[in-house]
Amino acid sequence: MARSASLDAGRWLPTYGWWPHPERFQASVMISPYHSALESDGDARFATVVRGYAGSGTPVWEHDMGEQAMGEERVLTLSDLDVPPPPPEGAVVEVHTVRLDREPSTGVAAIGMWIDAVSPDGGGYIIPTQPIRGAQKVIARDDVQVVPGIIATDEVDTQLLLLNVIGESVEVRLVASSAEGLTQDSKPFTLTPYSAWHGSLRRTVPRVRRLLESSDGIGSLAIYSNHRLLPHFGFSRDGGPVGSLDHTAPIFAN
Amino acid sequence: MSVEANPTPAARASDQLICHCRQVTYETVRSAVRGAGVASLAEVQRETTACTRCFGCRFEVEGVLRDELGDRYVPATVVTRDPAADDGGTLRTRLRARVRGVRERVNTVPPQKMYMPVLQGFGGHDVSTRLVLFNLHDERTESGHAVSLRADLTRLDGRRQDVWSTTIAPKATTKLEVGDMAHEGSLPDGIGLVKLVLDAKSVGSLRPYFHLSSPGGVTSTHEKRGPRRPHVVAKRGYHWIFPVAPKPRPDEAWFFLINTQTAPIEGRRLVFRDENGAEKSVEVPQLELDQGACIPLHEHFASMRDGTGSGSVRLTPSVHVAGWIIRRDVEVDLWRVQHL
Repeated sequence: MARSASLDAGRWLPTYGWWPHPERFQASVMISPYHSALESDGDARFATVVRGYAGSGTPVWEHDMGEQAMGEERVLTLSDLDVPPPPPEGAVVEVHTVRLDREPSTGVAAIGMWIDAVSPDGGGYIIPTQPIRGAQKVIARDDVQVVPGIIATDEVDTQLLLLNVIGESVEVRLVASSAEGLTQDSKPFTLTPYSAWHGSLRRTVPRVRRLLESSDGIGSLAIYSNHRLLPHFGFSRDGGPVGSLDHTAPIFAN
Repeated sequence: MSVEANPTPAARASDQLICHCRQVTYETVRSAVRGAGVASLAEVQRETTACTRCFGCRFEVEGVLRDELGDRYVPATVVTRDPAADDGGTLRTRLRARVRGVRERVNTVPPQKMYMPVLQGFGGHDVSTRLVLFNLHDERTESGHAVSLRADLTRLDGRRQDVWSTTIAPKATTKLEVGDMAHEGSLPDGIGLVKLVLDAKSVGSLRPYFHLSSPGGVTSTHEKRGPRRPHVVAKRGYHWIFPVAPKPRPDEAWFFLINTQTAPIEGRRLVFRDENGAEKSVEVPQLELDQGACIPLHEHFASMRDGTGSGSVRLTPSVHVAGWIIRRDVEVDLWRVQHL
């Protein structure tokens, strides 16, 4: 399927989020003009295309949400689309919103939107979609991001979600650190192009509970990768639902 | 938002600090009011240098003024950096401040402030807040350095309840259980906020996040920074929004916001606009610097509670705030939080 607005065409860049398996989460893409314009910008007009990717740079589906005038709210619930489901760990959803009434004021820019997801057992998350480039803040390092406040106890586990939204495989290594700065590495693993990896901290970083034992199971995590990823994290208690999914902290250029 | 008089300023020990940035004691401020005829916040700033850096003691200073002056005290509508106290003020001001008990040279660099919401038994629920502060160490540049900071636990009306200071070594993670700071009744309705105050040059390596824990699970997101120049009203090209998707289960929703600028937030509303273009709105209370509000959207917009509503709630007219979305699944007592 051809891309109607490629990464290399136009100055409004796409943004990305998780396309979860519908049995795990009912995810909705929220398109609101107020997230990128003022209500006084009456002439603002937008167009959005939403695409799903699962393992390659060619989207497996594309949904054109059409033009949107200022003040029009749109919601797209992914499970309502007549498309094949993603793999069990989910895949990548691209939300490409452009402003039709003007170009970005400088260089390139991305209009992030939101994904609101709930699971049948009460968990869920609400998070803005992110660009892989074109962000307002300058990022100093593409090869590491951190999760302050991982938890690894008998009751609570940290759930990690890594999104690879580029056309190359990405090598990943996780390094957990205790309150005092002692570390424990995972084995390296690979994310295929345009894919999602979802896993438990306790299962991925060996002996992490022991590492964090002296600080009540609390520590931090560095995610090293040879290309930039879009990592997220959340928590589950006693194997229950994930209660949030926030993005990790990049190292910004000061 | 109106602020009650601090009920116990006179009971504070005379050598207890009122201004932690400038190391000014309660006694210094009281003496200035009694001896030098100081009668306003600006005059306290000028005479003592208290409340000229992060403004975290503003409501305590006002409490002393109210306690000493009674009805003669007229509260300031806007707290700002007194020009004479900026950069240490004139030689005469600096000497006078030193004589009046200021312990160390004035730090002229504005601090960076970082804000986080606190739910500690909020609304009678079993929910608690934990701060997690990670001091990142960039091994490539060896730029790691220890970060010293202060955490103020305050009520939503800005009144400070406790102060916690720490230094975090490079690569280290420090946690702070808010339950260890808050005492019985210090946070009305179990809600407040934490404000981190640290030198701007230290901010680059610090990553503060927080956890909200309940029997149903743990949710987390990060702090929101205050502006580098809080007295400059920044123009925003878009609105803070709370997106609302249809839900298969009932849940509750709050819009938590903190004013991080010296200008009061007033005349604002939260407007829920659904996919059909219908709008409902609720007024945002007036908020001065460092004051917060937690607005229960599910009480004002019924379709958000029953899960039938979809669209967005926007803060309008647009204004800079530190803000978070908070939701609670009623059936499993699971909270979800996300920064704006």
